[in-house]
Formats: sequence, C-alpha cells, structure tokens
Amino acid sequence: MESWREKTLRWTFVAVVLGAIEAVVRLDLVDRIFLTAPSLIAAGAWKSFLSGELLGLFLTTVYEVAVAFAIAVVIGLPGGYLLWRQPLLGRAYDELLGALFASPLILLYPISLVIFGRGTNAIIAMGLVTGAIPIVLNTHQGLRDVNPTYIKVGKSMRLSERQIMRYVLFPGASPMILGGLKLGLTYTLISVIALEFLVEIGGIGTLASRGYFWFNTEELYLGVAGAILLSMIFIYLLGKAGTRLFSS
Amino acid sequence: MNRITKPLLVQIGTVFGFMVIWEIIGESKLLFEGILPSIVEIVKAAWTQVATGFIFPHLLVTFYEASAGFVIASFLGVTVGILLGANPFLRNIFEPPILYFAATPKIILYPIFLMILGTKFESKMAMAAVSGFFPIVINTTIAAANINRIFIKVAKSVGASSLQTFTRVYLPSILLPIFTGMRLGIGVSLVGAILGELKVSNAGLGFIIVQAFNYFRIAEMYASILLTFLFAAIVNLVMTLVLARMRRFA
Repeated sequence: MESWREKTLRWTFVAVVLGAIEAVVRLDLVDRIFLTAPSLIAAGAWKSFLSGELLGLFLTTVYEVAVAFAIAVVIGLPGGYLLWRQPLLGRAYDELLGALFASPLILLYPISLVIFGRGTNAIIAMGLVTGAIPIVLNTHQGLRDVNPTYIKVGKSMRLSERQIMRYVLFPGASPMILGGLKLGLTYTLISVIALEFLVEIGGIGTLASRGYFWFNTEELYLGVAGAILLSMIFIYLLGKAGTRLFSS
Repeated sequence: MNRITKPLLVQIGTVFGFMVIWEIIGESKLLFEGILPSIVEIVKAAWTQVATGFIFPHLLVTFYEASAGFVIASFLGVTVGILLGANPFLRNIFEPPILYFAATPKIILYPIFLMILGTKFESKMAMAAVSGFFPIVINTTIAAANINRIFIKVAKSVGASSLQTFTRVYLPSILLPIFTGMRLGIGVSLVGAILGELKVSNAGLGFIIVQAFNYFRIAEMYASILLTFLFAAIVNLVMTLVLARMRRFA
C-alpha cells in the first residue's frame, strides 16, 4: 500500500507543475498561442460543459469505445476458444495474429476510411480490430495454460462439455482472459481517440485537432487534457474492475 | 506432415483465402468502385514506388525522424528509469502516473508539438520520442528496481563509488531488459512519427499515404501502406535479431 505521504507528494508535484504553468502564462513569459493557463482551460471546460458540447464529445467517444469493445469481445472470446479447441488452427493463427499485433495496425486507418466512409463506423472498425487481437491471443493462452489434470478430473466426474467449460476451463483461464480484456479495451481506447484526432471525426479527440487548426489554444489544451483524462478514468476503472473480480 | 508444416500451410491458405475474398469483393461492385483495387495493381504500384525511387526520400525522412526521436526516448527513458529504479521513494511517487500516461494515446499531444516545434521534422521527432519513452522507462525502472540488493551491498563493501556501482553493477544487470524495452520502443517511435506525418507534414511515409488518400489514388495508398508495414517489419526483425544476439552474450 502506498503511504499518504507519497500520495500527497505526487499531488503536490502535479499542483506545482500546474501552478508553474499558470504563473508562466500569467506573467506573459511565454506567448499565449503556445501555452495557456490551466485556469483558462478549466474555464473553457466549464463553458463547454454548460453548453453540453463537452459532454456530447465525451459520450461519443465512450459510445465508440463501447461498441468497438463489445464487438471485439464477441469475436475475441469465441475466437480464442476456437483456437484452443483446434490446436492446428491455434498454432497457425497464434503466429499470424501475433505478427499482426506487433505491426503498426493503426496505420491501416485510411483503408477503414475508404471502406466505411468518414464517420464513426470507420473509427469503431479500427477500434475493434486493435482490441480483438489481444483478447483472442490471451483467451487462447489462458485456456492452454489450464492444467489438463483438472479437465481430466472433470471428465472422470462425467461433466458435460458445457459444464467443463463453465466450471473448469473458464475459471482456470480467467486471469489471463481478464488480462486480455484489459489490454483489448486499452488498445481500443487508444486507437479510437487517436483516430478521432487524426481524421477529426467523433468525440473528444477532435477537439485538440480543431483547436490547433483554428489557433484556439484553449480548445487545443482542453482537447488534450480531456482525452488524457478520459483514458486515465478508463484505466482506473479497469484496475478497479480487475481487483474486484479477483477478490470475489 | 509434421508440427511445423501443417500450421504453415494453414497460414498460407489463410493469406491466399484473404486475397481471393479481397479480389471477389473488389470485383463484385459491392463496395464503391476502386475501394478494393486488385492485388496485382497494388503490388504493381508498390513496385513502381520502389523502382522509380519515389519512396526512398520519404523513407529516409521517416527513418530520420523516428531514429532521432528514438535516441531521445532511449536516453531519457534509461536515465529516468534508473533514477526511479534505484530510488524506491521516487519510484512510489512517479511510477503510477507514468503507468497511467503510458496507456494514453500519445498522438493527442501532437498539436502541442506542432505549435511549439513547427510542422517540419522536429514535431515528428517529439512524437517519436514521447511514444518510445514509455516502454523504455517502464522496463528500465522494473529492471533497476529488481537488481539483486546483495550485488549493491558487495559493491559498497568493497568501496565502489556511486559511479562505479552504476557502471559495474547497475548497467550490466539491466542491459537486457533495457534492450527489450528499446525493441518495443523503436516500434512505437516509428508509429508515432508516421502518425504525425499522417496528420500534418510534407514528407515521409505517412505523408505519401495521406496524399494518395486525399487524391483518391487508392492503389498507391495501399502500396505505400504495404511498404510501410514492410519497413516496420524489417526494423522489428533487426531489433529481434540484435536482442537474440545480446541474450547469448548475457
């Protein structure tokens, strides 16, 4: 457990950095086109929140991530199971998918754009591709790591295949599968926000892009901060979900 | 058939099947015309880009940006990593925020780099540096934190200075994990630079992809993406080989 002292110091550090930026900007030591004060960003965020725009952007991003991740799970879990059931496919596709996972998949986004058009669907498609691969790979790995003796014991107790899946395989593989889900969600989130920024469609990622092109420094930093904050919230919640599942 | 050839056949079959499906959909008018050009056409376009030498200046630009960024990332990553690894107090304060930041999309910082560093190479180098920094710093921190304390005690007991402890104890025992981090880092540095080019640039692999996209020269776009992937794969392969070599020595 971390001590309150470390926690305090960490937040003090954050506060000092923000305070320094505020001071540098307020004292006009730096051109306001480059950097803006945290207080001004916060004021902009409040205004944008009141107009409903900020919330809309956040919700769009969350929607895209949620849809992409849901499809990735629906494809990924059975996919991993299939690779485990058919060891030949497993060996073949583990390598293929591993190679794909190591490649810069995000660079395929222009293809997604020409196929799905410039819209949220293109972003969802890319998010689900990047998210599904770690889910498949980890599910496969997790199932492979289940001690075969457990399955034999299950069989000797005349459990049906479904029961073995429910009571032996998936509980045994769950830590690895959960790791895959976390990884998948993180990758989905990263590609969704990155694409929103790159092609300027959809949610919170567009804000930074728009701010840059319109020389609206506050909007730019609001977009950057918003995107980072949203990712951090996701990761925080993921961590929470993980510990809860394991403690139960 | 043995264990190796069978999966290989499945892999080849899958790639072949994918190409067939691609051609069928491309021909079928199911999608808007020209969206899935014939693979022959794509390979031809890729060949033209290589044979005419068109791609090489752009490749060089991307390589320059990515490697400069990667050098910065390695330097900062290793330095900060050792600092945090050797100092539990600092590590407890800064490791959690670093882990959080590592999982955020770094490209979102790009407009800030664009504003401060301009639209030329420097902003892409910054992208490459920030992207590559995280895997390196994380690996270095973990490695430096897990050094056998006895080694350090021994070094101290024989009167080694802190510089000597660093070069004789820390560095040798964390070299391998650092290189593992660097192998990951160079990949993401490359992607970072290319993503930057895709957004705002006037040269580089990302630039020619987005140019082809904007003018709807789709076969050329696929060709450039294909060559970019090839380039990334080569970089990855080289790093893997280097790492394997180091493992043998370590």
